[in-house]
Formats: sequence, C-alpha cells, structure tokens
Amino acid sequence: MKSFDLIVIGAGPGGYVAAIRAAQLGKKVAIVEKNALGGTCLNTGCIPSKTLLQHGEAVETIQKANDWGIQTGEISINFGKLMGRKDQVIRTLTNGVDYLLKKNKVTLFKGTATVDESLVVTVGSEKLKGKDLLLATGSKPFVPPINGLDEVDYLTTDNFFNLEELPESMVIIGGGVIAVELAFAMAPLGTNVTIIEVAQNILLTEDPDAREVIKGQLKAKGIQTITGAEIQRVTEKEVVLADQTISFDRLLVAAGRSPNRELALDLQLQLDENEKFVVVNEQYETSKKHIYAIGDLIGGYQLAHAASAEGIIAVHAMAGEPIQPIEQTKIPRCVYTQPEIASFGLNEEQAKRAGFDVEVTKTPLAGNGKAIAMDSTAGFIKIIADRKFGEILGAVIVGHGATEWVGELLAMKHTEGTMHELASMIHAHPTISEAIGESANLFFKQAIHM
Amino acid sequence: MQGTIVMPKLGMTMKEGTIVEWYKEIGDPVAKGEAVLMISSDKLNQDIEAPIDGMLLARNGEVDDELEVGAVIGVVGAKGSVVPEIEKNASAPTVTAAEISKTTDQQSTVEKSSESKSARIFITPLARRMAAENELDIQSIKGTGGNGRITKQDVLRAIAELPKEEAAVAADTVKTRTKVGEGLTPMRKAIAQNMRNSLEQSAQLTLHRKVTADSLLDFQKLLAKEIESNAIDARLTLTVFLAKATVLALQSLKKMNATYAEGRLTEFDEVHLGIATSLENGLVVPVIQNAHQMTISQLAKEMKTVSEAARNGTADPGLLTGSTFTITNLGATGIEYFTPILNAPETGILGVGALQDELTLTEDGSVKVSKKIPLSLTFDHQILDGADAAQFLGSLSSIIESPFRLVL
Ligand SMILES: Cc1cc2nc3c(=O)[nH]c(=O)nc-3n(C[C@H](O)[C@H](O)[C@H](O)COP(=O)(O)OP(=O)(O)OC[C@H]3O[C@@H](n4cnc5c(N)ncnc54)[C@H](O)[C@@H]3O)c2cc1C
Repeated sequence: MKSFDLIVIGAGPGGYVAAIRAAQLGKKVAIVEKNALGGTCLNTGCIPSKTLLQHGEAVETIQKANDWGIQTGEISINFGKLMGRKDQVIRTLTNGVDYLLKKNKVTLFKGTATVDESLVVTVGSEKLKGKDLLLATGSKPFVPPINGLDEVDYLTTDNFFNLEELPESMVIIGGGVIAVELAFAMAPLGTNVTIIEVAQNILLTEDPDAREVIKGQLKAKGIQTITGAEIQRVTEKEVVLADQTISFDRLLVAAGRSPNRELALDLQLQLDENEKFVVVNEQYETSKKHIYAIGDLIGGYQLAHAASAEGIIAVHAMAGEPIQPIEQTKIPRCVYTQPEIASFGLNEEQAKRAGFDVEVTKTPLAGNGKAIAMDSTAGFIKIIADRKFGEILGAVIVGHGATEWVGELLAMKHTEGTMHELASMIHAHPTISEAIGESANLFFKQAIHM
Repeated sequence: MQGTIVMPKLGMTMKEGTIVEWYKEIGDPVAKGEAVLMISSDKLNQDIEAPIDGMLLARNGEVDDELEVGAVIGVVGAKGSVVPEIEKNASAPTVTAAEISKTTDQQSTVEKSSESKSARIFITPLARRMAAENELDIQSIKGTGGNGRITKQDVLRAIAELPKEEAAVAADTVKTRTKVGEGLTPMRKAIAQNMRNSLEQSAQLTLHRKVTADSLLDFQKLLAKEIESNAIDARLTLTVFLAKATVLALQSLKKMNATYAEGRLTEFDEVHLGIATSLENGLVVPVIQNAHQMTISQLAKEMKTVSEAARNGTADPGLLTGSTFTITNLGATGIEYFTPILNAPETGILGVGALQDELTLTEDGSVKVSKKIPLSLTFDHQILDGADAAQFLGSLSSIIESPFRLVL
C-alpha cells in the first residue's frame, strides 16, 4: 500500500489542476485516470470542439473574402487532414499536462479507481491510501430514451470527434450550447445540419437577445432548427417526428451530460434532491470528512474553468488555509458560436429579485468601427448594473471574439471597479471592446455614439 | 527637492477643506507661486500655489474629496524624483504661510498633527463608494482582499458590526438621508451647512422695532459736506452710521457681542463687525476687525474695502472669520422687517430694512413726514432674554435718534 496526502481521481481540468496546486502546497499527491489526461475538456470537449469551430470559421472567412474581392477557387475540404490537426492540438495539450504532473512530482496511476469504505483506493493491482480524497470524475453524455436509438449507430461527443468522413448531412438531437456549437462547426464544412430540440426554444440557458442573434446566424448558415419537436422514433437513416421526417447521414445526440457518480454512490455520499449531483460545502467537502468533490460531478456551471477553480479552493481548504468561496456571479459562461456569446453574473430579472436598483444598458455593435471593418457587426453588449453604486452585476456580450474581451468586464468586476471606472477607462481604437466603454457611458446617459 | 502642498487652515473654525478643481495634472510643470488647485473651506474658495518650481508629482485627492487641515494634497518636485507615499491624514512637516496664496492672516498656520496614523489604505472603488454612503471611516475597516484591500464584503461586515442604532441610521441613510448641502456648489454647500448648523445650535427669536432716522439723515448730510470739503475719500452711507451706532450699542450690552459654542460663552470687549454681503452665487460675511476703534470715516473706508474684496472673491480668509456680531442690510431691496438667521456662533444679528416715510404728529400737534428705519434683531434666547434684546434695540435707537453721539 502506498500512502499519499491526497489522491485525486480523474485528470480532467478539475482533477489535474487540483493535483498540481496541492503539490505546490507541499503535498504528496497521486492522480488516477482511466482514460486520457485532460479529461473531457481536452479530449472530447472544449479543445476538439474549438479546433473544429476554427476550421468552420476559416471557411467562412474565405467565403467572406471572396465577397470582398479576394478571389479564390472552389474551397475543398480535406476532412481527414482537419481531424489530424485536431488530434495534434489535443496531443500537444495532453502531453503538456503529462509534463506538468511530472514536473510537480504528482504520481500518475493509469486505470479505473475504486474506493472502499476505509478510503483505500484500488487501481488495478495498486492499493493507495490518502489522507484526503478528491473526486473529479466529471461527466458523460446523457442519452435520452428514444425509440429505436439503441439499434442505430448514433454519435455522442465521446466519439463524434473520431469521425473519419465528413457527413453529408447530420441531425443533432439537442439544442443546448454543445449542440449549437457543433452545428456551427460542421455547417461551413458543407454538412447539412438540422438541430432537433424537444423544448420550445434552443439555448435556453442564454440571454434571450443573444439567442435571437444566434438564431439569425443559424438561419443564415442554412442550419435548420426544429423546436418543440416530438420525436417518435429513430431509424437507421431518419428521425421521425410527429409532423415530419428528417433524414440524416450521421446522428449526433447532444442532449446534456450526466455526472460520473459511481464512486460517489459506492461511498454513499449525499446527493442533491434530484439524486443527481454530489452535495458539497463551500470548501468542496462532501458529506464524508476528507472526501472532496469538484467539477461536473457536483453540478453548478459545468464548465472547465469552474472545475479548475473549485479544485484549487478545495486543496487550499484541505491545507487548512482560509479560502474565499467562489462567487457564481464571477464565473464567465461562453458559447463559441459566430458571433460568440460571453456572459456572467445576474440577468435583469435576477438582479431585480436580489433587490438591486437595476439599470440595463445595451449597445449594439452595428456602429462599431472595428466590427464594421471586420464585417462582423452582429452582436451587442449588455451590462446589468446597480444604479446606486454603479456596481457591475452581470453582462452579456455577443460579438466576434467576445469570449476574450469579456475579460475586461470580469477584471473590473473582480477588482470591484464600478460603472464609474468603466466609463472613464480609455479603450483602444478601433476595437470592438470600445463598445464596453460606450455601454458604461450610456449608464450615465453620456454615450457618445448612440 | 520636494515641496508638499497641504490643506491650509483658512480661519479659526476650518477643520477640513474640499478640493474644488485641479488646475494641474500629475506630470505638469509648475512654477513656484503658480496655482495648482482650488480648494474651498466652509467660507470661500481659495487657490493653492506651488511651494517650489518643479513638476506636480502626486495628487492625493479628487474633486469633491474632503481633506483635513494639514493633510497633504499634493507633492511638487524635480521631474523623475520619487514620490514618497502620501499617507492619509499625514501632516506636512514644513508649511509656511507663504505657501498659501494670498493668505496674510496670522491665524492661517497649519496645525501640525504629531501622529502619522496609518499606512496607505487599499480599498476597491465599490467598497469606497459604499463606505462613503454609509459614512464609515475606512481607516477602521479591516481589509481581507488581496494586499489587505478593503472589499465590498468588508464594508458589509463593518455595517453589520455597527451598533444597532447607527446601523439603522446607516441603513436609513442609504435610502433617504442626504447630507446637508449635498449636490450644491461648494459655496451654497457652505451656506447650507452654516444655516442649518445655526438653526440647530441656537434658540433664535427676532424682535422688530422702528426708529426715527430724521436726525441721522440730517447728520449724514452734514458730515457728507464736511468730508467733501476736506477731500476725504469715503462714502458715508447710512449703513456706515448704523454700523457705528451698533458698535456703540454693543459696547453697552456685551452679552449681545458674544459667541456661544461648544459649551462656552465668550463675551468680547472688542467689536469685530460682520457685514453680510450678497454675491452673485451666494453670501459671505466679511468682517471689520476692531470696529470699536474706528472713526466713522475709517469705518466707511474699511467697509468699502472688505465688501469689495468679498464681492471680487479676493477677500483674504482672515477677513471672513472672527466676527462677534453681524449686520445684514436688505434696505436696498425694499424689505422692511425680516428674521435674520444668526451667524453662528454669534448671539445676535441686526437686520436693517428699507427707509420708510411715515406721517407723525409733532409735539405741537401738526403732522409731518418722517423717515423710519425698520430694525429686526435676532438673538439667541439661550443667552439673552427679550428684555436684553429690547434694551439693546432701545440703546441703538436712542443713538440713532441723537446721532451726534456717534462722534463723541
Ligand atoms: C463538446 C463539449 C464542449 C465543451 N466546451 C466547453 C467549453 O468551451 N468551455 C468549458 O468551460 N467547458 C466546456 N465543456 C465542458 C467541460 O469539458 C467540462 O465542464 C469539464 O471537462 C469538466 O471537468 P471535470 O474535471 O469535472 O471532468 P472531466 O473533464 O469530465 O474529467 C473527468 C475525468 O475523470 C476520469 N474518471 C472518471 N471516473 C474515473 C474513475 N473511476 N477512475 C479513474 N478516472 C476516472 C474520466 O476519464 C475523465 O478523464 C464542453 C464539453 C463538451 C462535451
């Protein structure tokens, strides 16, 4: 039996980051991973999806350039090469994680971990004993019960990124962030994409105005969106709805994710009221002492950077340090569509309910010099602020590169700057982020260009 | 070499000053004696000059910030020299009256506080706004953010830790209460604060009385001729005569020539007479120091000088404080009687109205037109009673009616 200060199970963005930080704090750390380092994020999530989206965007940039007067021939897609590039991107990053674990002297055990009541972790023939245990087992695609699905060769995000041939047509069941992003990735390559959503609308987690912009773009890309769908059954080549039948070359089911709770169940950890996610306190300790849980396993925002931030807090708490609990309103949420959506904090409704004297300013990008020059004016900036102190309560940015420049607003909020500071800050010209300054000045009824 | 600019003490009562305007940005070159910023005390605006040639290296406050007297407002030094950390409420070790522009008043020395309280305070912009709104002293708030920075959470905690009543007030403040003078120009703000303060601190009562001015007007004409033929440069207005009469009446009732503040009643032998003077944007009270030692023509000259200086905004600060009794004259506006508000902490103020024509019966039973001056005397009923005030008005009236007493 090998003993450690901390054993981390799962090497996704939650687990590997926590392991490295614990090692930096002087702990003897082990990490167990049954698949590839980097978890969902690096292998079947954030990174491959963003790589494919980049390919789609490149195609569209070339198409736009042709409109402007840069003539190219017919665009032809070498799908195998594109997927090879994606693999290369993943490899670069997973190798990086491997290097970092070694550098920080975190011991890696490959295999599936099981845990017994005395908190002994078994991986193959190895038995490990840790003072603390951190569960970072993440999540897997949720596959809803649909007639006939079992009998067809459908894809989930677990194997979608292994596609070898570009499908001629693709149906995506699901209308959430992941589904819509993948539609944006595939359509420009030439795949005829249809989104089938059972709910009354797509992107229900997003701001309604943002949703409208994205729906407009989906339409422009020829992506068909069917909402309020009644799926009766699925056959080898068709999805049969109550009122129509949609045929496909490939079918992708992207209807949400469910946590990998096996170990949590074995350990009889307390789950939330829906029996879905593991319940933790502000330090990410579960109902059992010395067992911590983070990331997609505990719900909340199921995002890579949330998982990492939680992991860091957890290990500092284990080390007995005072911690600042994560404020949910400071976690950015990004959708990598075109234009991108980046948001954080409260929406108008929530802010009002929280008792703030709410002022919402919205600045469209239509008049923004850089956006016009880039031929990318779809989008807006919406800031939700408190009238009294000018506190920034939340924001929604829809625009080219929004996921990058939301950082400005986040930094302002994180350091507790207010609309006063935002309004007097000097933005570079021309930039799309100038619209942030405009929005802040609009708060004081002093926007220049509106 | 570096020179610090500190908040000057413009008069006895000044505790803090407000930054009205910065004329210079950090990095701007400044010449010794050049105005760097304007501050306002509760009485007036004042340009503050650079103590030495150099460059403005640091500014310790923004427009509308209030700083204690003696606090460092800025630093001037050679280009590129290192600015010492400006400490909050730190007092400058070397400050001379010369550094304070146009200040000749001996009172205007800077109080040197011996303790230099705290190191620089880090506080987030949001926390600063919340603390200000709740009137919390940020020096007393413990910061828990990075670098000991005071955050929103820390301010909320400090509010929660306030004693119940204060917390209620603080919470209340958040919604309804505004500070006296808030949102007004510095001048109006000072007036608002002075007026409210006056009404809060004293028990004011006004007596009215008419006095016959015929003899005084005759006397005025007589003296005016005299002055003209002697080529004396002074305009003998009715106010001058009334001022002189007031000085004499005050000397016979010291309780009216007094101040009452912070639990101390001070009666004065000397009379420093405040003359309320309206300006375009407000009101100031220039003071004629030692009015009791002046002849009528001296008084006339001095009144002209101080009121002009006050109107032009060039009055030196010493001119605007230290009065022991105040006269306010609304005669020019046609007003008869009114209820002047005490110029705190004084115990009396005399309001003069417009001359009135009245028909009176002479001793022989015939009717004649006579000029009357309506007088309004407000006094602090804490210190004086109606009888005292009536006595004062009585002696004032008898002097006005027998004006030769003004020159005896
Ligand atoms: C297509 C797609 C796109 C996404 N895009 C984004 C994005 O753009 N931005 C973003 O923030 N998030 C994105 N996400 C979500 C993000 O990937 C997850 O929120 C994040 O990976 C969660 O991290 P985690 O560490 O909690 O779990 P995971 O990344 O799921 O890692 C858990 C790891 O634990 C391992 N494991 C589980 N059980 C055991 C066991 N018993 N023994 C050993 N190992 C075990 C698993 O093999 C896995 O490697 C995306 C997800 C998908 C599917």
